Amino acid sequence: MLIYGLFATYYVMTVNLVYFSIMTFSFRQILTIFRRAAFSKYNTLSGSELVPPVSLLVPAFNEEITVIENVKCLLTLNYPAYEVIVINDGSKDNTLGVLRDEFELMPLPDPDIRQTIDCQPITAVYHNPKYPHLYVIDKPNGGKADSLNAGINLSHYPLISSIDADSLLEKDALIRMARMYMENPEETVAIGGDVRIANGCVIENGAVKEVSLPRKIWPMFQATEYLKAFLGGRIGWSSINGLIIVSGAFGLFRKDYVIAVGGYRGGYPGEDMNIIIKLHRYMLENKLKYRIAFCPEAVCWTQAPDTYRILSNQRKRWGRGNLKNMIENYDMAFNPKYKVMGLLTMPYNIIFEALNPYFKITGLLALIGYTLLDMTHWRVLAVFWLINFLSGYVLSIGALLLEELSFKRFNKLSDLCKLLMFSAFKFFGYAQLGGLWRIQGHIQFLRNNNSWGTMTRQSWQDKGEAAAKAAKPAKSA
Amino acid sequence: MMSNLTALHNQTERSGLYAGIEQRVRETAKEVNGVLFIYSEGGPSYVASQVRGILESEPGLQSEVWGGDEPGSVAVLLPGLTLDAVHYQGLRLKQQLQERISDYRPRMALASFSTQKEIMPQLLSQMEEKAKQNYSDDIYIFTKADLLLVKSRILIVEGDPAVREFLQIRLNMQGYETMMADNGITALDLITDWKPDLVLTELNLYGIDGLPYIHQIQQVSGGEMPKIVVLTEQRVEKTISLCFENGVDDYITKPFSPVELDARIRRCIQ
Amino acid sequence: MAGQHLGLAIAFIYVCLGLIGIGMLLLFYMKIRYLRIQRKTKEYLRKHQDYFLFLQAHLGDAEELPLPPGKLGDLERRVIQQRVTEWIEQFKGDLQQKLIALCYNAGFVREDLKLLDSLFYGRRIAAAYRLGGMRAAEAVPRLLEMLKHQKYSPLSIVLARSIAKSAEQEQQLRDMLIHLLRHGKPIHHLAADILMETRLDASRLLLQLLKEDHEDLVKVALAAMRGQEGLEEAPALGRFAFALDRRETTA
Repeated sequence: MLIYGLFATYYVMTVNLVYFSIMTFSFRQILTIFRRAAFSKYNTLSGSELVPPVSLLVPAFNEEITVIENVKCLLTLNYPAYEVIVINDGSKDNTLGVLRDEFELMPLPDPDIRQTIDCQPITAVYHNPKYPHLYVIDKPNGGKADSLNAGINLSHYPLISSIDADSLLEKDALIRMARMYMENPEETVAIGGDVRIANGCVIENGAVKEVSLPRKIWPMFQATEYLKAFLGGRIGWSSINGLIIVSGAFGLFRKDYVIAVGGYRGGYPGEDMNIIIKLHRYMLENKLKYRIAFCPEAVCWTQAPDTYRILSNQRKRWGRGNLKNMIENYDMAFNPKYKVMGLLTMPYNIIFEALNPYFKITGLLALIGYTLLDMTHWRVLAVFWLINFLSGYVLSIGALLLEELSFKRFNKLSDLCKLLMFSAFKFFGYAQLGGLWRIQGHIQFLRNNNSWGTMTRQSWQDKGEAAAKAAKPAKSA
Repeated sequence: MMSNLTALHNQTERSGLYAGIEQRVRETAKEVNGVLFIYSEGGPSYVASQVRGILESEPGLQSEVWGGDEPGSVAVLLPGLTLDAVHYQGLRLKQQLQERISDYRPRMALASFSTQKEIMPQLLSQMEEKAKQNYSDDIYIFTKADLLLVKSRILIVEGDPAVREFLQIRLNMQGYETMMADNGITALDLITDWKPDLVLTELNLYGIDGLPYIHQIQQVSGGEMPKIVVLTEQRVEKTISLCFENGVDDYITKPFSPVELDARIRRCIQ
Repeated sequence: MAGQHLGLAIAFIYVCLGLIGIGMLLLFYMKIRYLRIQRKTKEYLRKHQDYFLFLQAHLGDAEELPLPPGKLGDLERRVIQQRVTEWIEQFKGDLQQKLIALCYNAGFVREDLKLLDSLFYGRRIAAAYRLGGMRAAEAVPRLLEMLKHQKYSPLSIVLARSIAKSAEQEQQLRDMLIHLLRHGKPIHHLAADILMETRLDASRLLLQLLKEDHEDLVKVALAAMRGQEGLEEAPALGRFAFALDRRETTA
């Protein structure tokens, strides 16, 4: 028992050391990121004919309450040439109706749709010449991935960007990404944006006017979590080209490569991670030079789940999707052919992410058992827990430092204190819950291995509820 | 009775002040003359002497200072100074007065007259009135535009505060009445309520922007459509031609030449 | 055996504690410093509002624009410089020229030129960015030198833009393009966008680039003329001529 406990302790230390090394890569990058953001004027670029046009794909399922506001926000981005394609994924509510009324849309008699990727047949495409850059696709329900594929089939431009219907893009977000793309257009196949939590922020005219921390505890925990994952993790991973996920909430892709890998995979959640893994695989197998980049200065604000039920469902879904992706692509792990991806990212995600809760919980149980046998060994248990807590806290502080070195979006001293506090509280319950949810997600996966459609629809429903419940008060404030 | 008497007294004293300024102008025999009024309600009575001191500390500057009819009210004549020079002296005065007198918030108006003939009591009185009613913290620049009775209205719609402020100052000085909006929604409301003659607008705005915004302007303004001049970063050929097709009168891209902008606005309004 | 492991674990704990302490100190130091600068900046912006109004009112008629009366601190100067640069970026023609002259006369350009020699890379880049904002032609040879030694990164773009904004000779723009494109990345569109920031006669410049033997330079010129239509198509003469024509009228 002790031996296993010790093993778990070393495991925790290794996880955090690995994470720490990834974070040092982030630190190496952060000043460049700060400078490139501070010393670029986006306004000239945002009117330039030389910027590649982008198709924004916005899947919508039962979003009648929020969809108008979000589309309006997307129609006012600072970007020279782009189109917004909303895909109504067989909503059961009046999503299509409210869109048609608000923008006076009429069905296009002869929409030009290419069947480059398989998806549910498109019922109709709606358009209004007064809003030349807006298209609405209506199609039977097929899940988020299927909706994105339908959007790709209609899209007119060489770059596509997937955006969640319940998130809010900053006006400059897309042009910042495009600038990054233009710096290396041939090799860049995908760029991820930074996702931040909008709960608590003041929102006006479809833009975050005043940044503030969430007032409720669940979003607050997530705020610290997102900071750590995006600034501490993704900047570092992207600097060694080992990024495994571009958030589904906001990412930019080269359409030709997305089509080359067969588009998005339906049936399971985690299609955002899946597409990135497929892109890595495709580029490496074809020996093409490429990068999958992360652009932390391009910000997308999202309403985080603020109740236990919705949050736990979201995390279980992530756990489920994650496991599916790992099982599907286990062959990449430890395969030198796949370079950083095969030798670092995949092993890290399998051993240290997917299996993390099992090691931690069994380790804890083993040490508790050991202590129960002989109470004088409580110190070992304390050490295990302290290592868990302190090394995790170091990483949280590192993430806050990264934020402070670059974006400084939280303007009050009290915000800093609050972030520090919640980063610590996280280890008293929240982190453990996170592990539990992940395990529950894995169990769900193993049990419903072949229930495809229902699962996707379930996930959409969760999101619709989350948006309806969480978004309303804050967005109208 | 009593109040009538004081009023009369005030008036004579004031016209005495204006006459004094007029006379001094003739004596110095400079064609161009700067005039500056400073006022602060119940302000300290020693302001005039402070002003004198500050102006005399600048070598080579000719000036004359009168204490007005109320304590805290001061008139300054700066012979030979053009508007920018008067304005600069105004800045200096304000800054130094504020350093010397605590909690001092002067209301100021200044002007430069290009001929002696222009300086007349009615005009000076109008100007002093402007100073007294200048409740903003800014220095008021009194120009010929203040004498216009009918002004064309221009709505400035611009997200960038630096450009917005610049356009407002420039257009005000040219005799237009202006209002400002920093987003598309407010702009549409103002077009409905205030009915401007011309809308000078950026295309990238919060709330609503681009072509839908132009359409909406047409819709809300009903029959009396304002002229629309677009001043924007947006340089994409197709957008420009779509704008012209949809009733935009002129399209100017940033960076812009303010002189050229003036000319284009004038052409549109006439 | 367990004791040995425990020792290691406890050492690990101490290291973590140390890092947490240092991190917290740094965090608070940085936050407080940043908030102070923010507050001061706001204060100065308010203090000089009269001066900013003065500048905007007399851009057209003043012979030479002065600095505000009184003594100015370092941050205060920086705040004014930033505001003036904002206008320089938005205007062209005489008024822009006057603001540029103000930056020279006030010593802003000289100060930033000096900063190009700084030991800190961050300061050099910041100075280069500001010099571009002030259209400081004097700085161009130095900036070209920096770009030449810069490894390709987003900051190469910052340098290149500064050069394009400030350059007063066509040769300098050409050198800028050569340095920028030497990394072999197909960034012709971005390079064209940078090039078009120039104050020089763009149509003449583009025609010259078209005659070059250097393939990349020709591509940049074509991109500048034809926007997003792609480089593979045969040059459409109509549009080609139209693009030139348009640049002439707007230049």
